[in-house]
Amino acid sequence: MKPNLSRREWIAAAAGACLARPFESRASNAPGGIVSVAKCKSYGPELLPTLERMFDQIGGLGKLVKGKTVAIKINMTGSPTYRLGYKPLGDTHYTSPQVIGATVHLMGKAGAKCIRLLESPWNTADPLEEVMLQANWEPAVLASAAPRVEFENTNYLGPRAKTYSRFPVPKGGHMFREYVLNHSYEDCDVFVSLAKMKDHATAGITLSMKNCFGCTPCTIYGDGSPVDEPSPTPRGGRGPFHSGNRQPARIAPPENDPKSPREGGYRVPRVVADLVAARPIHLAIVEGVESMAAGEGPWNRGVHPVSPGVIVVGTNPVATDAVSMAVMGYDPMADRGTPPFETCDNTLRLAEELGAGTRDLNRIEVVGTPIQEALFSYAELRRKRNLAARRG
Amino acid sequence: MDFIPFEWPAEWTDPAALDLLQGTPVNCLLLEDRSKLAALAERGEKQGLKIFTRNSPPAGVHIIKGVWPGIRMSREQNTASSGPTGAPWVDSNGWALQLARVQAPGKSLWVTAEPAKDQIVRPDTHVLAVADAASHGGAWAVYLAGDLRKGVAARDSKALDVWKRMLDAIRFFEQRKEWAAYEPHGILGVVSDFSGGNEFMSTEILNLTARQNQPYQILLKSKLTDASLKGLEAVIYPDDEPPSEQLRKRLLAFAEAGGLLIVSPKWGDVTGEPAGGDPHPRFKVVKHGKGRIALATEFDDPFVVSCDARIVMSHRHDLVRFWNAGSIVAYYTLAPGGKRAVVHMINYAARPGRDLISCRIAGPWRSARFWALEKAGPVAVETVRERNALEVHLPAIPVYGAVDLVA
Repeated sequence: MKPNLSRREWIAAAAGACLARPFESRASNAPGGIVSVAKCKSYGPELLPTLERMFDQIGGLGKLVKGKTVAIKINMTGSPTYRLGYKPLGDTHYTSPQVIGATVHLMGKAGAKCIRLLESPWNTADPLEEVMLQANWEPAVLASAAPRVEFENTNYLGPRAKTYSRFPVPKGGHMFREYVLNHSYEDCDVFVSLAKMKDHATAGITLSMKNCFGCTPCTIYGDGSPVDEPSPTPRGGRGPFHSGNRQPARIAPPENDPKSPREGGYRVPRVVADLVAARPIHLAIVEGVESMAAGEGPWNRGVHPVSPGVIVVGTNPVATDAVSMAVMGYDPMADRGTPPFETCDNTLRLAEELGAGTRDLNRIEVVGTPIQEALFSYAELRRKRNLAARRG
Repeated sequence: MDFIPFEWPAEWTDPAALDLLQGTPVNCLLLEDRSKLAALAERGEKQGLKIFTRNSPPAGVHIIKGVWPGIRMSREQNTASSGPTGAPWVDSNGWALQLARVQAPGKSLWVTAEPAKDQIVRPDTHVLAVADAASHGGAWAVYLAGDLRKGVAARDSKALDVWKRMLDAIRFFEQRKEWAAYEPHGILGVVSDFSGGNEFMSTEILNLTARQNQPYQILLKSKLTDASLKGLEAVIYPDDEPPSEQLRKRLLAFAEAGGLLIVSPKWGDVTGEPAGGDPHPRFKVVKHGKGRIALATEFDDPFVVSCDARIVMSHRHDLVRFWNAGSIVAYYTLAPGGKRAVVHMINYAARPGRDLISCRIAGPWRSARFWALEKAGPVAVETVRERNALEVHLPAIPVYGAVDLVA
């Protein structure tokens, strides 16, 4: 980020740069950068040095965060009281608290001025720390991992903010020309997506980009948001993004094309691509040390825990997700109709079209563990599930 | 003598129907009108049953006119009605029994309840009614609703299966009478007179606080002493009138010493340095000595109040934390001396959920056993030791189970 620009100016400039070129040419020239892959079999003592090494491999955290305010969007999808079996949430569908703690610690060590953990937890305006406690996490541990750590529930306006922040999407966006989010997504110098490696029932996969779907406040975009003003507290989930059954509260622009398909497989990947283009990610971390397959949460049919034992880190979210897909045994160039995008569009392609990065593995420098060595084939698990489903 | 009461159906006039009670724990009949069932009453007494009428229960018994427990069903859609959270609306007598235990100490507590006229009654809610009352130290006066009454009279096998399971549930609690002497464990106190203009708000706070699996202690204003506040982290004063000077002084001293005092607007304004953390939309929270006072600025909806209280107090103090629990409500009790505990778990859906349940129980516990209505002996459960807590991985709970903990 150029130091002489304000955060707002920088976001506008990033969006403007994308606007200057048509989709196709941006796709071919989109940044790839370096992506680090590492095996990490547990959340034990090996985690911190592994992450530290990975950050060094992509250029070092100091250059990115020193003296900066860092916002980290973590993934706490669904209710904190809903587990997959007896498993702790961080071992299946939430970003692991150990990875969050290690990342925060390393950022603090690298000189981050302030680190703010962000998430829009399910159906509540309660403080994020309280949601973490319900998940059986201890937020005090995260708060003590670096000098200044803050927490923000971004599913609503927030306890102190007066207004929401506006994020225009390059080229007018696939689904919406602008998104209206909690101020914390603007009030930061560095934006990090710290995601879990998972399949996703609607979008095929959920990695660093899909994690940003949860940036959107349900007070505006949720099932229960009012027609006009945002509600003071969120009610329900993001059904309208999936089904298009209604428009957001009027504080946010309506969707670009009211005749677009009312189908989650079309809409959700486009919303995700829009969000990533509108609110650029500076550091993408996809942790798959422990995770789950066949869906993004315990509510999906046929889900089960898996232990991929892998972490992927990069400065470009599209490239990082492309490498993550390859580690999962999927082809990031796959399009609708082929796994994992049997019933949806490829979010990576849509993000690429907005100039957010490249999914072409030939244009991405992969460092650390080679993809083939880190491979944990979600694709093979999927193939077997699909085969079993066809056999009835 | 401990009575196991049965509300005898008025239409069962044939004394031969008493054969149903042979070999069961039921030892007492409640009749609508003895004069209309004289022969039956006479035979019942010969059979060793005690006979009472509904209007004149035995001395020493306190009757609670309760609700038919369970998830409230919508007849239109045959689906669960929603409560204020969007979660199913649960009807329970637990809070009323806890309150009666404080208001009528030493009395035997009976719950009488029959379903509303248009209520959908699933047969298993009869087993639930037994567990709902017995787990809270009371006894449900057995009442056979609608179809079950007809089915049992006709000796229908499905109805008799429910009847048997209901009686087995009664036996289960009879065999564990010592549990009834355990004291409710909670670190949140609710201080009120629970009557008059304060009754609705205070009792609904009890009901809805329990629904959130937040155990509490009931504190009568008139009997409050400094000792009653010992061990509590927080106290709610929900009443619609300012406290007496003595009560105010006592509660302020509680906050001064480090407690959290949550008060209704009728308490009057509070002053002091704002407490740390994010501002709460419905509370003014100020420091007071080593503790805090949270003055509610809105206090209309008891559900919102009980949810807010939990957040102001913080989930850090959760005594019971469930995952995948659905409509299970816990009742945490401590044995005298505090070295043992039983956490009763009542599933108001009266059917097992599809997900595995786990529960974190705060306390110095080293081991746990699980008791299920359906099993004669204890069930081994996997546990995970945490700092000041034990996480227990539970089997399915169709209606009721209990975790028996040892320090």
